[in-house]
Amino acid sequence: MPRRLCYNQNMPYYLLTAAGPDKAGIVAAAAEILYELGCNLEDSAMTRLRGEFAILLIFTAPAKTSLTELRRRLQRLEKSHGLTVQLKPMKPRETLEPPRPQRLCLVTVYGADKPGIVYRVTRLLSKNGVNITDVTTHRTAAGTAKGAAGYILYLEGELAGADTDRLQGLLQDLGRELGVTVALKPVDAEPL
Amino acid sequence: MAAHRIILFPDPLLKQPSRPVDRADAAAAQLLTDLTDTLHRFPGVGLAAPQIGVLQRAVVVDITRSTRREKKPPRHHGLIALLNPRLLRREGELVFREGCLSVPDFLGNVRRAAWIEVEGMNARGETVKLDTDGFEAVALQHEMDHLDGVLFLDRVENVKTDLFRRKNYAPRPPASTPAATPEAG
Repeated sequence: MPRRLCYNQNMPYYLLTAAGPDKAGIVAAAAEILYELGCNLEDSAMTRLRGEFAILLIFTAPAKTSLTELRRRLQRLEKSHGLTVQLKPMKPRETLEPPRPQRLCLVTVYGADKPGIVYRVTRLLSKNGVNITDVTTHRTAAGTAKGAAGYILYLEGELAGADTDRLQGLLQDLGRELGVTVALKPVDAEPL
Repeated sequence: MAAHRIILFPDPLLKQPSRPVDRADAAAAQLLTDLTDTLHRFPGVGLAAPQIGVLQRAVVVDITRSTRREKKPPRHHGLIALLNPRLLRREGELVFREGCLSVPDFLGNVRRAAWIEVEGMNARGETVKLDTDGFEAVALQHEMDHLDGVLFLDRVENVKTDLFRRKNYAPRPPASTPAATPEAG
């Protein structure tokens, strides 16, 4: 059964996405606006990529506060902090945590950068029923005599019904073709 | 005295296993000296021979080079320079955020043994046995991994909690300037 991670059953949910050049105070400015509006921060992921800072944040707002009012206040971040701001009301079913997946996997790919690494790996995974939940990639400075840059890809996904051994074999083949190191490891996530 | 260039990811050399050093001869002693000299030119606490392009089983570790500030200084042996290091025993585990001089701008949380006993040969051909824990044990395990073509990238377990881009994207400081975060080789 889907679990509702919800402490404010009667408050509507919103998804805020915002990104812009990094500087000190972005999180505080966004949190301040939400606090003043009586909103409650639920789940969020915020990170900096190079010089750009991005916010992905789910919050609840008092039922009496209109979407227009929320938008108006949050869009002040565009002027004050140079962010691009988007606000989306969430449908009730979107606020549910998906059922706990039976099996998770971590896929690691690294080697000399070339076009198509992310595309080929993720296409193979999606064709085999893997639902990707987290991705991090990084491109390093040139590290070989030939001037090749390095590429590192980590992703986590739900295996669903995928056959792990078969998937590992397919990924190995793809790794050989692309000339990169590929590994798929099951992730143990047992509540202890 | 010969400091070397550090081999950087994605150089395939870093994925190669290294050969044992047959004898602690002049060449082997020179290799340990070169590793030490190279380590002293970079903001790191350890270096393995493959990182200077030599596929032989030799490592140096010196955590006193770390700029980490801790209330209680970690246990250490000063400069450890070993040929053919071998893990004899391991106990416990700890998670440490590691970087690598060969994989700039990328950090990862890695699970390592908290205590290890290691045996190897010094530059004079004598057998050396030592045990250590904490930061020094992590650094030794990281360097010994290099001898098997294993990078810390192979040991990351979780995307959400284990990966960190190094936040400093500015041009790297000159080799003589210590970085804020110590890196194992």
